[in-house]
Amino acid sequence: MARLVELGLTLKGEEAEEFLKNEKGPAFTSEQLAFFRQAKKIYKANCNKF
Amino acid sequence: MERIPEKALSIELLNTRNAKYTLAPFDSGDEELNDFLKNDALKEQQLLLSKTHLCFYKDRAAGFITLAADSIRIEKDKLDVSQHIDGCNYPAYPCILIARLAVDKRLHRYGIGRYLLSFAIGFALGGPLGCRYISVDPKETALKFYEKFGFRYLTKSKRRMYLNVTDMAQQLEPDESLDPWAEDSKATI
Repeated sequence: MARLVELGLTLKGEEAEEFLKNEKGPAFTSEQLAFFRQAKKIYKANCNKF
Repeated sequence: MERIPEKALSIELLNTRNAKYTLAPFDSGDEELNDFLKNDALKEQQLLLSKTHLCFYKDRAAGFITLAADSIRIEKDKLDVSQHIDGCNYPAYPCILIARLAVDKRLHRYGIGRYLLSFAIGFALGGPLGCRYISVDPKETALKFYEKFGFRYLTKSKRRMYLNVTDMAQQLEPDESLDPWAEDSKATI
């Protein structure tokens, strides 16, 4: 049996504060945005298979 | 190395037929990931714990991605209202977990991992579920791969990384993010 995946992650105390403080990230680069656009197209082209 | 063109790749949900006929030659170079795909992925899928999608190149399994519904729970006992996320006081936020992602070692650096990741991101952006984050527990060797596509660490002390889907949707043009009517209205103008 392969390693089990940890579902249901909980952030508490300082970790929760740190996450909330940084939750909104810096702007994505133009390359990353282009990748996200392409990702939507790839999903749309394949979504009828699922 | 040149990326394999996307039109040469296809993606298919793991099923009993493709599991029987296409998985044997697959070798990611990582025994744990190979073992998961060949022995556990279909069982987990039948139990609806996760779903595994195979990427095919020239009729052979070139890689796979396993996705599961997940959440990030935030226990905020000592936090004040100003720290609610976008004004929401939810105790947990929906997320898609990339439980596994691997590429056959003969096809590393040909864009298969990128293609599989784009499927997960496209699902988060354009699929039928509300999901605020995509998260992943990457292996050490894959950290740079996820960083390249905008994933960041949840906290300094955790290896788990996440991508904020809301940030993505907001930074894409409004008519390409979450508005399902946008393409129709453009066509009628």
